[in-house]
Amino acid sequence: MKKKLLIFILTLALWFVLAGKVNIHVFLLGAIICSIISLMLADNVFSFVQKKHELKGFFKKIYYIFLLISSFIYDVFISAIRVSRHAFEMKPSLSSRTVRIKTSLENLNSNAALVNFITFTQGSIAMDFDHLNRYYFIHWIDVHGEDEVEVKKALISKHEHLIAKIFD
Amino acid sequence: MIDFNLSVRQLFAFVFFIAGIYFLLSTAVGLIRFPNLYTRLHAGSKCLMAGGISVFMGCILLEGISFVSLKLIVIMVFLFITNPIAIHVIASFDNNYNLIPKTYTKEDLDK
Repeated sequence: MKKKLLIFILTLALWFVLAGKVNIHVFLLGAIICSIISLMLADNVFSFVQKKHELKGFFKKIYYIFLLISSFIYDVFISAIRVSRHAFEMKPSLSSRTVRIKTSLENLNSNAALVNFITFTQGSIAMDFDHLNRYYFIHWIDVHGEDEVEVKKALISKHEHLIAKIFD
Repeated sequence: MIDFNLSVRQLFAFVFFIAGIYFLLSTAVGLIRFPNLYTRLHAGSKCLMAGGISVFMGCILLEGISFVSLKLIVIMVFLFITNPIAIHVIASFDNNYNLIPKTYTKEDLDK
């Protein structure tokens, strides 16, 4: 109950800050939304907080998060340029294929972060995830040879290591 | 007198807007021209996201450091989270239920 109340108060405060004004309509709408959020997330939010890391570990994580976000934005633009080039070609030369890649990540949040990465970067989309065998099913849009497959797999593995350092 | 800072800011903002228009246009063109569902999802995820980031960055540059910019950043983060989830759900649904007929290539996995 304490957790739910804390989440409710924090989200309602954030709601007022972002709404920029306080009146009865804003309060009622905010109360409804924040109560739904607090009911849904109260049990999960506090499990994200890990107390095993000291201050040094915290700053290291911040550094890794910065690396992750910058790499993410860079890859989104590179990938978007490639896909948009195909869109404007007279005859789109797509060479798509579906592959299966095994992951070593165990945490649910790290898997979700990796799915987001795969969907946004290097012409790949995460189609499905096999929870039992820990396989990702990935669709690639422009893979013309085995060398490109290895390059893309290496990139996913690099992101996987980075995400493992943050979440696991 | 022309404010130099404002001019440079506006210049960068318009560069972002032009890039955003290009990516959003390529999203629409890709959704029409690409041959099957998954390739269309590629256009709907990457180009849409890059276009969204570009347009929001242009707006933030024009607005400067203000409360409106903070709201724009929140919207951008929301887009970051929701767009891949939507794409993943559509792809996963199609992969598991085979509702939409698609063509397989020889490199695809045996289904």
